Amino acid sequence: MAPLWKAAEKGYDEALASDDAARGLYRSVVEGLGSFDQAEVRRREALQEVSLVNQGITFTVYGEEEGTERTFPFDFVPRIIGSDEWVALERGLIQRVTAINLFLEDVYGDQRCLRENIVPFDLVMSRSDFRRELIGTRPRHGVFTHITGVDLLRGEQGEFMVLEDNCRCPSGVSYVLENRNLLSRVFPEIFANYGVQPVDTYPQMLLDALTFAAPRGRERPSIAVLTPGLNNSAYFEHSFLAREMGVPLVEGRDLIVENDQVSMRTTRGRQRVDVLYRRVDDAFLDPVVFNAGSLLGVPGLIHAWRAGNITIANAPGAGVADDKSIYPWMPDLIRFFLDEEPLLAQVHTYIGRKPEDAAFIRDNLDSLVVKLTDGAGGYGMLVGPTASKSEIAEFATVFNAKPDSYIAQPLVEFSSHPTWVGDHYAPRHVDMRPFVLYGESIRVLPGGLTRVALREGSYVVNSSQGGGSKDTWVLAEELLR
Amino acid sequence: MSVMLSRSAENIYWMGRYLERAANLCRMLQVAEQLTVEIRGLEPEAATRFWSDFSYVFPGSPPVRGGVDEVRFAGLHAWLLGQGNTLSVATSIHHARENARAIREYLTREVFEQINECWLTLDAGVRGEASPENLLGQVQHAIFGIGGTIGRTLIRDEAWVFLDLGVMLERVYRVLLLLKHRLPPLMATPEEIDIPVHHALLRAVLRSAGSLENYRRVHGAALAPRQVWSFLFFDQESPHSVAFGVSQLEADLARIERGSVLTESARLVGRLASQLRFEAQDMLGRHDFEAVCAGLASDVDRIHESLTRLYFTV
Repeated sequence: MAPLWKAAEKGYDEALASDDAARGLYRSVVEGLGSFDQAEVRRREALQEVSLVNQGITFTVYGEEEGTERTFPFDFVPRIIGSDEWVALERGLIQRVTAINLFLEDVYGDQRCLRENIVPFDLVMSRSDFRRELIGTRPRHGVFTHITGVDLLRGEQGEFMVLEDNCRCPSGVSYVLENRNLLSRVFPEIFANYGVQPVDTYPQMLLDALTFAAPRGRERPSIAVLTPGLNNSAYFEHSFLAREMGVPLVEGRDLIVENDQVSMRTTRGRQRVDVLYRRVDDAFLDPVVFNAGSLLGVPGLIHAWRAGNITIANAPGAGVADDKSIYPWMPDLIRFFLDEEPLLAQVHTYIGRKPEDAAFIRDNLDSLVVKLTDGAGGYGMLVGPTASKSEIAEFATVFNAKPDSYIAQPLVEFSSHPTWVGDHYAPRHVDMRPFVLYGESIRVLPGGLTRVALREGSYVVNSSQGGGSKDTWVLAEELLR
Repeated sequence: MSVMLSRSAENIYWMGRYLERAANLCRMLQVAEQLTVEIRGLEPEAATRFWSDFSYVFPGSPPVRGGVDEVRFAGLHAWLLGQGNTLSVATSIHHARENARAIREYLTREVFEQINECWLTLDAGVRGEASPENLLGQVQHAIFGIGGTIGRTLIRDEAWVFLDLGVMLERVYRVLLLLKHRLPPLMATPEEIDIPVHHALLRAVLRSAGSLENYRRVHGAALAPRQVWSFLFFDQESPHSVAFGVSQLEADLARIERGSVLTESARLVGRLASQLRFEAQDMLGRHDFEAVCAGLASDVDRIHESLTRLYFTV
């Protein structure tokens, strides 16, 4: 008997309607997967696991035995997005990334948005990812975020909304490509009735964007990917991207800066580097300017960048744009820089700096998620709906002492998607990270990393905490059949 | 990708060395297993010695002692799975994989996958999930598979040259150590020894160097220690002879030479090649065979050091 499909009881189910019947785009996939019995599904799932292990498609786990490698669990039920919806989403992403780059160019340049108080001056200046050292620096073409990962959720009506932007070193795109590769080998039948847009164009798109970003006069630039090294959690991806683009994968120790020129140590002596796709955080990029103790960086790199002799992608200092205290201002920034209404919704955010919002937060602590703007990893955070009365009372004292250090959001019941959980399909929460490349134009990879919270009821999609991933299909046109 | 990072060149060189080391050790363990079956009833001491002498061919590995069953059991575990042995097949494949991970952008997907699968097979043995007796053949086939995949899928660019340098240097070095420690006892006159065991041991030397069938194609079935020496040293066509390996090193270095100035590595290899080509008769006439092998092994060490200085520490 075919396994049952059951729609999510709470929130939006992406594939199934409330009567458990497949939504239009999903009918063929649900039919196709439903035709396999449990034994066949398990056999293919085992093949899929063996394939991931044999190919060494892993991420490195921190805090365990050094260099422990794990596979990122893959769920074979694909997530499908129709072409019309994607086109609209793509427009919204391009608009957002355009505004992010104009914002960055402005805060490191004229600071018009600060002078006109679109975003509070002291808020931006106090962000740890705002690099005062870089004021007055404009990267080639004014592009700071050559690669942006925008984390999206679907709200209760199925509408996409932005949860956060990733403007530093967004990771996960290698899994997008490998997931497609894996699914097409393990479950080729389910592709039969769909025109799925390819994702393996990404390396060429990335190479084009990096080539376009090269310093003036370098038509055939020398490009390299900079990795912290083998033990970094995303090392597989660094190596994957270098291999797919056909460029060297370098570590800080492979590079040297002399007379503001960056070179690689090669078997034929030193060779100049024009573009560095760095996967090392700002703080570790150059011990001369940032963290003096960094062994991962390259002394003198920032100086060479400021001199215009090398392009660093993403540009140093870009992280201020994805700070969670800047996020609430993003719709205003879009209006300010583009004179347009934001095309993508985002989670409504109450800003503790605004007196009326602070009052609302104070009165509604039991129903809000309150976050410290400088906090990370859940530190300084209150999840009102699940907190006890005493926890709320305790938090109220802290909040009242410094309300402008907080933002608050309603708890979003984000969408679910059918997922194979060992012997049946069950709804599990999913998010999505599309990848946006800024080269000669802004392009969005048709797909993205769909992460899934594999534990029942969980909202945590992170790979280190029980999350997995899915192949994301963006259809070239609606169902062929 | 025309640029070869010094660090990557070193990684791929060591990947080649470790793969070749694992291949040699695997083959020698297979030979030891078969030799034990063949001669333990005739001369158990010779079988025992064959196992315990592994530590000369792979210096640094702990010696094993005891009767034939004990040394065989301990040897197989230690040299295949690396329990307390840093020169085992498992350790070599582990290092080959770590080096491969560092340079995946220079490898084809197939090559990395083969190395990874071989490591996973050995890792199951290390974790006690498979016995070394069952694993040995499987691992040897996996290593052959890696070699074949490299040959069939990798582009012959500079990375290939460094890989081949690692393979050839390791091969020449191990053949020299093998001959230095295995051949002298067999150079005693036939009257003093048991002929079947003597021949079995000579065959074992040739098979350990992957050259028994090649030797027969050139010299037929007649086995004589000096002829074995001559073949494994000077034959230009047998892939495991010293002369063949040195010729390959010469050709590899010619591909990466910088301008017209002769590098130190090329000079050392050239001198070694010339010795093997033109001083064969002198060498064969010498009675200090061990010293000849040791001298050549030192030359190989010097070539390795010069490559490191010249290409890996720019």
